Amino acid sequence: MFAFALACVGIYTLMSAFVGARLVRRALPARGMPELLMGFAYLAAPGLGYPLAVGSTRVQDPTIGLAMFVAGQTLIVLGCSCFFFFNARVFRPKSVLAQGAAAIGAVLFALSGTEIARGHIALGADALGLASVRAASVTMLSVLGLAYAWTAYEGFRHHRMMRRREGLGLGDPVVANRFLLWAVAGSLQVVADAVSAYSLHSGGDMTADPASVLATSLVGIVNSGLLVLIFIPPARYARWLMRDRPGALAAV
Amino acid sequence: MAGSGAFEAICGALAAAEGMDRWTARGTLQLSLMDAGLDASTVTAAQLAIVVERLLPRQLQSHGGVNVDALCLRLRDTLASLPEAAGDESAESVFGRIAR
Repeated sequence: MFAFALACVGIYTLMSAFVGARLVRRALPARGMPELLMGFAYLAAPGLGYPLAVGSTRVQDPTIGLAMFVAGQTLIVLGCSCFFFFNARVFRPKSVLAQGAAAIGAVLFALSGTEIARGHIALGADALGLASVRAASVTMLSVLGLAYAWTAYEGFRHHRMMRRREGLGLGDPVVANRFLLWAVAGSLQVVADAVSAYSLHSGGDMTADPASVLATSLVGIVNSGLLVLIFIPPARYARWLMRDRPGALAAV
Repeated sequence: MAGSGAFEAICGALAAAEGMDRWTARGTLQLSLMDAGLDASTVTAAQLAIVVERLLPRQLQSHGGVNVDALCLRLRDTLASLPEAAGDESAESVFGRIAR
């Protein structure tokens, strides 16, 4: 079970790092803020932050381990915040409410991340025994779940809108499908976060609780596949999506 | 919420038509955009041109005293005269380029 979980999460980590680095590399010269936010989100949180935080417990030297944990936690907070700001910037660019919600989400991530790091500095790997650290971890997972739920909602909404556009000859079926996959990935992540948050809230250890490990592993492997289809879709897949609409890509 | 430049321009032209006011024009256009799956805040002139051609006439039929054909022709002229908007940052555009 542990090996399976490690393989699934490892694949997701590698895919996230690859996709994130690719987006950041392309966003920098073009100054594409949406790509930069999305790329940094994938690169910083699942690509680097989680492996650093998890790997820190396996390091012999406590100083290096602590530095790795704090660096990992910082990257997780920054990366997850970028998910919020990506949603606000891309899906609700003129909504003050959305920008405010993204800022509140980022503050909650920062506060809970600080408490988790503070507990880790004091007690090391046993920090989860502190009620404040457990509450902060549940808060972080819950807020992250909200970020992914927002992602899923916007993805499904835009997929529906794109399907309507197709009826007018506007809209690209490949982009419409990309919104759908994005929404499905967000929905699955909500499920994984909810299972982990419930495990933590019930006093369990989400890294040992079978339900939490299974949910995280399965979502990790499925979302790795979705990352491929969203960000580096094989030509054959795009052709399959376009099978009924030759020339639709040039419609808009 | 404010609409895109093209949306606001068409709203202005539509509101100036006989039997229309600002809110009726806005509401009528919003309904057509909903049918088309478009968002007022990001809709482009090219997309609006298709809406004006394909969907708006049906919405305008319900407004008595409006010469639908003449009005739609005027709206298309308004759209054609708009300068091209700089840098499309709509969600569709972002999701269209993230995989390139």
